[in-house]
Amino acid sequence: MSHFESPLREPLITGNKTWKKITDDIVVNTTGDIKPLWLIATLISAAVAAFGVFCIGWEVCYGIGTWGANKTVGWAWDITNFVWWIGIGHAGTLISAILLLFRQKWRTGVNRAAEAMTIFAVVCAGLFPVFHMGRVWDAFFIFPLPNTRGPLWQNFNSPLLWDVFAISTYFSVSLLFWYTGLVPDFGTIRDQAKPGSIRWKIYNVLSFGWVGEAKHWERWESLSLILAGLSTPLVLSVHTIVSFDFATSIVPGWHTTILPPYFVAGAIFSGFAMVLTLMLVARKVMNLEDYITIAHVESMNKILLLTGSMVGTAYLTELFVAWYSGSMYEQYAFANRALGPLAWSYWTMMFCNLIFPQFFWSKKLRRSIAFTFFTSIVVNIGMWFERFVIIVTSLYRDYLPSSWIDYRPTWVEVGIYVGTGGIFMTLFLLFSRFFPVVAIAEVKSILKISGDQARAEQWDEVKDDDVYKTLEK
Amino acid sequence: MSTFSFEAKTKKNLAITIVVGLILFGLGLIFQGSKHDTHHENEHGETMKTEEVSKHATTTVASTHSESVTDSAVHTDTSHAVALAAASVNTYEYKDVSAEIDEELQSLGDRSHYAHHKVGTLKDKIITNLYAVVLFFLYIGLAAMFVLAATTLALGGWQIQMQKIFLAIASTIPVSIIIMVVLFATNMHTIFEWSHAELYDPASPHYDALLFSKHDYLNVKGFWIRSIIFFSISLGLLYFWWKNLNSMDVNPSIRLYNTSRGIAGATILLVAMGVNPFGTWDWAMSIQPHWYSTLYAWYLMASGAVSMFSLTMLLIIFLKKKGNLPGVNENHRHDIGKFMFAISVFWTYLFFSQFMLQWYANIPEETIYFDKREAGYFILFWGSFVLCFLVPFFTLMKRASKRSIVATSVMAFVIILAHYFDFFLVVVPEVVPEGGFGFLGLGFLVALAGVYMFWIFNSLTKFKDLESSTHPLYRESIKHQI
Repeated sequence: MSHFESPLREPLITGNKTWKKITDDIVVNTTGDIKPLWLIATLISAAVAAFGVFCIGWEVCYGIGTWGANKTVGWAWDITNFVWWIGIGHAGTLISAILLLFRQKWRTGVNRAAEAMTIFAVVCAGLFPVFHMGRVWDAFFIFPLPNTRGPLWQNFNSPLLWDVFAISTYFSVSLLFWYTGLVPDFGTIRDQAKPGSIRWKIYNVLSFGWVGEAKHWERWESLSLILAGLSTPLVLSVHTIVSFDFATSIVPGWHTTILPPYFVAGAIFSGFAMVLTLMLVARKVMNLEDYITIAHVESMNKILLLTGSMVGTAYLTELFVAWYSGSMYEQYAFANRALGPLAWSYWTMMFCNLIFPQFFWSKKLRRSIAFTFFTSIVVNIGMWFERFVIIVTSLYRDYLPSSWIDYRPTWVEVGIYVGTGGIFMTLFLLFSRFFPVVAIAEVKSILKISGDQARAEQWDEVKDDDVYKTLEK
Repeated sequence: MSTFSFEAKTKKNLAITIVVGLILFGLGLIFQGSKHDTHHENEHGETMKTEEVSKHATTTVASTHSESVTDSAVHTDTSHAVALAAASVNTYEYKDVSAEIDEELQSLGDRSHYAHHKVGTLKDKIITNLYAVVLFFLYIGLAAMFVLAATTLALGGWQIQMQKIFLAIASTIPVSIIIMVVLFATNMHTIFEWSHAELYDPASPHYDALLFSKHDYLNVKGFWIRSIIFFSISLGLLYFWWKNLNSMDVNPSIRLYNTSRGIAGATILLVAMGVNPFGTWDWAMSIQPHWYSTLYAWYLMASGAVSMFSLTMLLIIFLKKKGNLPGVNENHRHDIGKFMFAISVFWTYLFFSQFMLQWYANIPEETIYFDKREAGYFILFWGSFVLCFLVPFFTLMKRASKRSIVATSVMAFVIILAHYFDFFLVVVPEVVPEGGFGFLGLGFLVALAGVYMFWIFNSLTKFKDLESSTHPLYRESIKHQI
């Protein structure tokens, strides 16, 4: 019995591709002259990144006082940005690990770029807690190393320490997984280069001398499987532990049991939004429309709708249970979010994350590139505001009304935030130029079953089924 | 295309199951009844092992074990009363603290802190044990409909041959609803402490300021309105599913398949945003009306879902044995086994998230939920954790065990039993703080399982085509190989 796929499903590779054509289509983006557009974008991104580094330097020299952090809002923009970036870094692993388990073939078109994005987002995220420490030269204190500080050890009961382990594990496994996937594709790029040239040599090293022996594939598949197995719990654990940073406290608005699963859903939500933002541009600029089709976009939009609704259900649950709890502090925290001076941020969050994705119930809008791009931006903004709402509106009016204070960011923290955007974009642009943006080997693996030419045979197979005959009517 | 015939032998076996359940129930009645008699000799009707309880309990459990203490004794035990007042959620109100303590003292001797009626009577045990089983089965039914919707909406192909099993399990929703409506109509005061009118009367000694603040939501009228709305939604969705999948057998068309995806979208939306959260708050969380947890709805749904997949596994194995479902093989069972494994882990994730966060923050209003369960049902509480997580986790981890009929069917029984314990712990401990577990509940479980299986098999006979062979994605299911 051979595998069968219903021709009702949209093809995932269009343009009647051959093996060779797939290789050429993807490798061509790493060869040839550098496009001026790419160069300009990279230079701008690098400049923004440089400004971010300058702001970080400023903060290191003059201290945390250069930020708007104050006596109640100690976490402010910094941790908002941290959680935002970590959330964005979720889509890659979800696509590579969880969607693999669910046998979603469309993942092959976007997994490579999503994984790359994951790694770059985690790099950006990691900067924030490190520089929040103030005395950044003591950052190694977070690691439980044998030391000369006597009985002074890390607090193993603190979720902040769990974060260190969770994020560093996530980063290493994601990096390994991404790189493992790249190895055969580096081999492909090398084989397209002139043997002995510098390009050939570099890609040869990057591919660890891959020659595509059966033994290589066998080991590669075992390793991929093990890493997929490790990644699956990591998708859940990282943002769960980030949510513990908040939920283990007794701060009203933070201490709520739904926070772990809803943070995970929110992370996937924002991660997919960022994947869409980047890939909608990349597929156009790099001529990848045959590999990242409208069907891919529609599937990702469905995930946006699903996770956005999950997040929305959690918002409404929190709101209701805050009232239902009968605890005046919980009630105030939420009343203040919805009606207080920062209510605009709360309603921005509600609108962007809960209401706006509901447009994707419409098939027409799910398949509209322009609308999808717009929505992905809206969701990115909404998810940033979600973290802002959680952090700032829970803290700026704490238990002691005499310490109530407004929160205003300074140019330094805004600069660092914008700078991480520059770092992220610079890394992504470099990746898109030198690495295969679509996983060549994985896309080839679905060609014969989900490619457009496979559909013809599949139609042939089902032509006698009564149910398919009704399609013509 | 095949149909299921409900053989006389199966009917007989189910009848025997029901009888066994009733015998267990009778045994439970004898044991619990005799215990109950000794209660009556004691003025306050409770035989809490005070020392044992206080070993596990923090101050919050004081409210539970105080039931065995006479009023005068409590009046002299001021430290106890202070601890009790501190533990009480009523301290949120801006009131004189001494008045709070007095109020607490007055309510002692009755049911816990928002005392109204004496707890742990035989009637309490019977009603809550029955309710726990029915609520459990309702969530299994809802989970079946939800999974049917989720797999349809996600354009799943592998499960097509088994979708009628999901539908048959979902078809038990009306049974659960009927029993629940009868229970609510006749015994609301037993299950739901908040339903007593005098709790909201400031002149009454039982006045409960905290519950008063929730009265806009927690009131009998609102409860009935919401229950009727969400029962109707569930029944309506079930009707549409039943109609759609059955007309697909008779008159297959792509249009019907597209309609089924529409129904699936509506099901996901209405169950996830309506029936599940509101139902859980009303039918389960409000049993302990002072306590709250935002995660509760997802937690109970995970329990229902993993039990539903286990039941599906058992039904597949049974139907295969009877010669039905010819195209279902170890690949399909492997996938169902994966869901048993995955949702067990997911349930544990939710259990841990809820438990750890409340344990870590250590706020008495929240920890009282776990304190009560640990104090009265220590072995059951942690035992069910072991059975819900560790046992299926280690057993079903291997590929071979997910494909083995013996391993999966044993695990299916273990998971269903363990999640019944979970539902027991959701419903019973609040009304019967100790000693509520036994043959009584197991009797209900076995007898009602017989009734529900009867209903499921009866539903299966109604399908013209058990494996949905006219479905457009049927070929994918037949050629499913992993």
